[in-house]
Amino acid sequence: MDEPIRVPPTPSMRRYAEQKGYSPEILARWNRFYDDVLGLVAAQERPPDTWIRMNPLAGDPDETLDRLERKGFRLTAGPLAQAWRVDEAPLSPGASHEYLLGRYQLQDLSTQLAVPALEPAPGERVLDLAAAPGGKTIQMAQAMDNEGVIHAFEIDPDRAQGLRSNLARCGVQNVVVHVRDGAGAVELPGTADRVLLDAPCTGEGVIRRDPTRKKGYLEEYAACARQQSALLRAGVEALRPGGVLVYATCTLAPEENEFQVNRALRDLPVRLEALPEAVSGLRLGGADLTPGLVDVDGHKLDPTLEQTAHTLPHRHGCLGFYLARLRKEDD
Amino acid sequence: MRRASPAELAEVREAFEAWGPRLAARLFPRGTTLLVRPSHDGLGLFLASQRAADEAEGCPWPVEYAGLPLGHLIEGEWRPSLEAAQLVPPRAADRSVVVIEEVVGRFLYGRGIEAEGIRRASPEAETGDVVFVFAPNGDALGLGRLVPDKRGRRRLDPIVDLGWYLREGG
Repeated sequence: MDEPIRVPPTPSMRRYAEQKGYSPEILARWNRFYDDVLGLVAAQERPPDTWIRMNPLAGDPDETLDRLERKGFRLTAGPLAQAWRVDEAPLSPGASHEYLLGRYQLQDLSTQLAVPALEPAPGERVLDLAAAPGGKTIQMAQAMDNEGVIHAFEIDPDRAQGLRSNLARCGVQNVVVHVRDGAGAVELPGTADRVLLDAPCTGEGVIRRDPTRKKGYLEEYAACARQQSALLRAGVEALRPGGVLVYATCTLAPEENEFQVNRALRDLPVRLEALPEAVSGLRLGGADLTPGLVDVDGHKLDPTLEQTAHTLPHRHGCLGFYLARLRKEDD
Repeated sequence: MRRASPAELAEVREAFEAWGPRLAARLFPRGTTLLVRPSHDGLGLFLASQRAADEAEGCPWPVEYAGLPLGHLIEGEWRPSLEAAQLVPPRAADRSVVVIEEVVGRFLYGRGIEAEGIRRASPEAETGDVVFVFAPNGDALGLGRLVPDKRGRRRLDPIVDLGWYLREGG
């Protein structure tokens, strides 16, 4: 889809959007795509929970937990291994000595789902096509026990420096950093067992953290979608037959989510797979993950897209995120 | 970036061991590979998984970063990185200083430590040496240099500390 879906805002929607600081077109679209838009907007106004992820590569997680609790942190275990919600903190969780030692990383719960969806294993060859700031790259290195290799691509030199800094702090030894467009991964010799594409996007799902994204323009959807298509095509090309690609974004825009995967199913040698039970079986905020859309404003999409999943701020209590797992066809 | 040659490996091991007899085995365990990145003044050193090393070496474009940076080898001497400091246990390093708890935060803000703040210096650490700096519980804090103060004692000048990760915006 080359043109964004335009949903004319009603006068009352326009007033409400102005009151809340949004572009009216964004709220009109959400109202068309998702239920309970008022609940969604209300959730986007609340500050997000802070989540950390223990890093076994840099220290025993039980010991890290004990050290943080002795310092006055109050933490609640999350639904994924090594994920903890910070309920009380005597200092910024990004400034403790344990953080500086790489014993944990800051990472929203929603984004922690991408790696268990991909299931990387020790010894494998993995591509991370848009890696900075590196939370998921580090999470993959943990799952791979620092063995095998992850090729981490980041086109922006400043963001690549942040990525290197995070990898080093967390004691990661199996990552090769490439300061270039992830689409260049096809030029690497050999093929990959797995590819993570957490694609650059309009970020509608992270408005709780970055309110400037309330004022998006419809043209941005198309620009992001073009970049996502190119990365997705490159990711599939770089994958070995039978290999797995996880496509993820932190936006609510179907042009960047379901439409991308729908086009991949039509044009590329991939099939959609159900997310692993460790992800699909989760209940976050008391709710199952929300299935992907299959009918968007009259556009009928591949019905298997119901196997993709959203986290939504008003349903799951975390940031908005989208996940799809694709497997490349065997030769 | 490429694998270290046998001669470079021997030189690196020797340089590591100048900081402590058991340090090479700690920093460069079996199953890992040492990558080097030549620069105008020496070699950048990176500890990498075997496969990451293979693929960094076989990459069709120059790779600037792979694995974990261990510092630089310059004229046969090792200049450790912050990450290397995190791999070194306090008792394994001949050149090390343990500071008192009260000054840990100060050092992590990139500030020097007066003589009163130094709890213990390893016997081999001489004035003028670069040393690993540790908290009393053994946590790495960074690297500093032992320098004389006005009263003939030794103070610690900061070189690099873990707080750099925050100041860098990581």
